[in-house]
Amino acid sequence: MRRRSMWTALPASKTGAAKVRHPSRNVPRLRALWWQTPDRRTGATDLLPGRVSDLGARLLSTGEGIVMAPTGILHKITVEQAEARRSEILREQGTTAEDLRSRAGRYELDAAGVAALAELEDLDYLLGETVE
Amino acid sequence: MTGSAVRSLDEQATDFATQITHTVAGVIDGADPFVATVLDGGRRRQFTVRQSPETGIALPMSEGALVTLTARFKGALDKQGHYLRVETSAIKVYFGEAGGQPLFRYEYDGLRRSSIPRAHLQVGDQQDLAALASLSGEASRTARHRAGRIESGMLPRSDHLHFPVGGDRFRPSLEDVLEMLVEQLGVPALPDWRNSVAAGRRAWRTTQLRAAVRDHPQAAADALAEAGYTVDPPPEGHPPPSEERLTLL
Repeated sequence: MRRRSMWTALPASKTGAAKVRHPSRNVPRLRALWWQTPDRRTGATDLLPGRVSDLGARLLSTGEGIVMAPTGILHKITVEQAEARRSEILREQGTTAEDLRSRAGRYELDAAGVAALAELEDLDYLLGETVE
Repeated sequence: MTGSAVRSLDEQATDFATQITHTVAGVIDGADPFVATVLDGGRRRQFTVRQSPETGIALPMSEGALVTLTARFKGALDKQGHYLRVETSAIKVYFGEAGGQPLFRYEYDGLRRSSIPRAHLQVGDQQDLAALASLSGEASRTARHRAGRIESGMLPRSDHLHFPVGGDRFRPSLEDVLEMLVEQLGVPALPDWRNSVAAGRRAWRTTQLRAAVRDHPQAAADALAEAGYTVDPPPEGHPPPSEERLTLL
């Protein structure tokens, strides 16, 4: 299923000049805050061990004021859970991994299919079954 | 390793997810945290990091349109178990939901041994990119400038979009373009062209590496010290890093 061209999604006026505010409207203020964060001041922006200890303390300015930035989430699964989830994905999609990859190569997957294949390939990688 | 204990895969993968989360949450209002996944137990070294939700980060544009961003990373601890190493990454942007063909995507596959560049940009249909350029609204100076030109009668074109490719130090070289022309477009080349390209690329990257060291001498000194070198900073201390070189697009 080939998605329709973006041209057909454009309104008749199609000038691209609508007065819509982008959610990143606070960028200047965010940038100013970011410059004040510790690892920014030291220039230590890489992932070297011991350099990212203050990652959890970053502040963000949002429409609701200054808030703590969210932190990454660690998800630990067992091999058995990974294998079960892999089977569940294929069952939900009603197909095989090979078919999913083949359809992805033809851009025939919808959003759910793309997400399913991405999760499947993550699991394959973690389980040591990387696919060329 | 000097100065700090070896940190676990769990810690480093979580920090990687946190660092990306901070970047995205600092730009996109209400962005959800990235998720690092590792297998529990055993001596495994692999990790994955992905955006949340699994279906991608929906980003509104003007006129009710939206694009969806997905970003996924796969990697492992290095042989010494000290550092994370990203082996593959895929950052994709779709028009609407994240299905079908992406508008464009940046991909890296450090395990690849083919003629496809290990780090590359792929663009979708030209017409889609042109339409995308017309939907930028007025959220930035570049978008306002383009909108003004479109309002005055200029048709949106795909080449109105300028894709970043690594900044001052890590941009592609002439050798990269030459190799692409030969490998992917079939441009006839001399028998020894691979050696010429490799030699030129090696010289280019060495020059850029030296320049990058001058951009951030302390980072270079720290890396050398961790590799066993004795590095003494000048009496006046490390010069400050070049914020411009390190941060500008």
